[in-house]
Amino acid sequence: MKKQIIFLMTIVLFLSSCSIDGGDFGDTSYGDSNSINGSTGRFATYKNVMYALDFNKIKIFSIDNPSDPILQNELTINDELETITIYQNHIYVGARRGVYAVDITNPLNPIVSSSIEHWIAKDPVAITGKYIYSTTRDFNRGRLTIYEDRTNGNFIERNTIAIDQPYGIGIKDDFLFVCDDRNGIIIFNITNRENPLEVATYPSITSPRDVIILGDIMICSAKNEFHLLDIKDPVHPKLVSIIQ
Amino acid sequence: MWLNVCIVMTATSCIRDNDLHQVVEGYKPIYISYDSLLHFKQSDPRTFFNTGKISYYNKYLFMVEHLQGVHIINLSDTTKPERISFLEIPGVQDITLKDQILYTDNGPHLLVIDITDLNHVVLLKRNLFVFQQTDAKRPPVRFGWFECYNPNAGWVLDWQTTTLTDPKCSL
Repeated sequence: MKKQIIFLMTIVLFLSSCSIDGGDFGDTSYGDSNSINGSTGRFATYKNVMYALDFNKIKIFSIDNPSDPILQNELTINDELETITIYQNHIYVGARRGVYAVDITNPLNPIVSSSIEHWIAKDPVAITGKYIYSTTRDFNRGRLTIYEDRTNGNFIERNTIAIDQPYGIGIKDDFLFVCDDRNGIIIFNITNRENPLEVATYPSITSPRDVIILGDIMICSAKNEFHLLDIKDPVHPKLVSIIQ
Repeated sequence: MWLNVCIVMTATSCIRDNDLHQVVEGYKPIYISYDSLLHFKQSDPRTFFNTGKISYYNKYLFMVEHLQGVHIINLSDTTKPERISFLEIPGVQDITLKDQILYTDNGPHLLVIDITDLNHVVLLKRNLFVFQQTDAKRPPVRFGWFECYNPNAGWVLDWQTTTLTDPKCSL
């Protein structure tokens, strides 16, 4: 009898540990089966959902069956939505008049959790921890702004740095890479998250548009070429290859 | 002889001729028919012209050629990236991938493309008219006059500068 009880308990323990593993798998699968997108795109996938920005709406498609996306929901934000970046369980949306953090804990029913308004401009964003780096540009002005995200409320603007004509943006550990149409890729040390320190420029790429960082490799797209850079030493990027 | 029509440099400096027509510099849409918009083809690699948006998936880079299609580049050997093909998709602006599927817009439509065999991708589905794409219906400028979008003329693939008489739309 005792043996039977122990056996049953073992089965129960085994089953419960399986369900925990299943939950973890859902989280880790994010990086494995989803593409890694640049910071300027308007489409993204997360778990079994695809998000598409469509002017003032986030359109939410179920892709339980990946070959048959079904429009399940829409979230309207009173702005012109331009870029989407997923970080942990939030979507960060760069828009014409502001930046929005959208909670996707329930992926089919996203909720705006915090936001901030800014001057009218386009703005890709990159996130590390509670800090959001956003580039904006308009006519001949451009800048990098650092916000702190206090969830459930507004972002707090922490700092602003002038940049000529910034486009896409990416983060590797303590370094921030900003595409600048006029000067190439500008590299900041962000060990102090609120006070980025410009440490280098990679000027060899003409009109860079966006970056994707894959460990020690950075993919930089430009208007009519792309460069692969080795950024093991982020302050001294080394050219690996170019396609023009 | 007095000129009835003056060529003006900006929308804000527009003037009226003797018949009280407003003649300004502005933008007009270049349309693609709804039938032509349904074109989809995998073709040979092309050079980049106006690219920028990128997605990395499973050692391949997918790069949007604005409103024309998607470049596919093999990055298995980072020292020798190789263009492998070009997907002709009119009206494309955005892409994302998951589980061997490429999702992309095609004007107002959503395309679902199976990329399991990258040499022979398969268009699985086209969800028609799921996107408003409001920004595609006006020129990509902050201010100015433009010829209003006419949905009966097709989908807007691009905008070109032109001289407009009595335009009804402006930004």
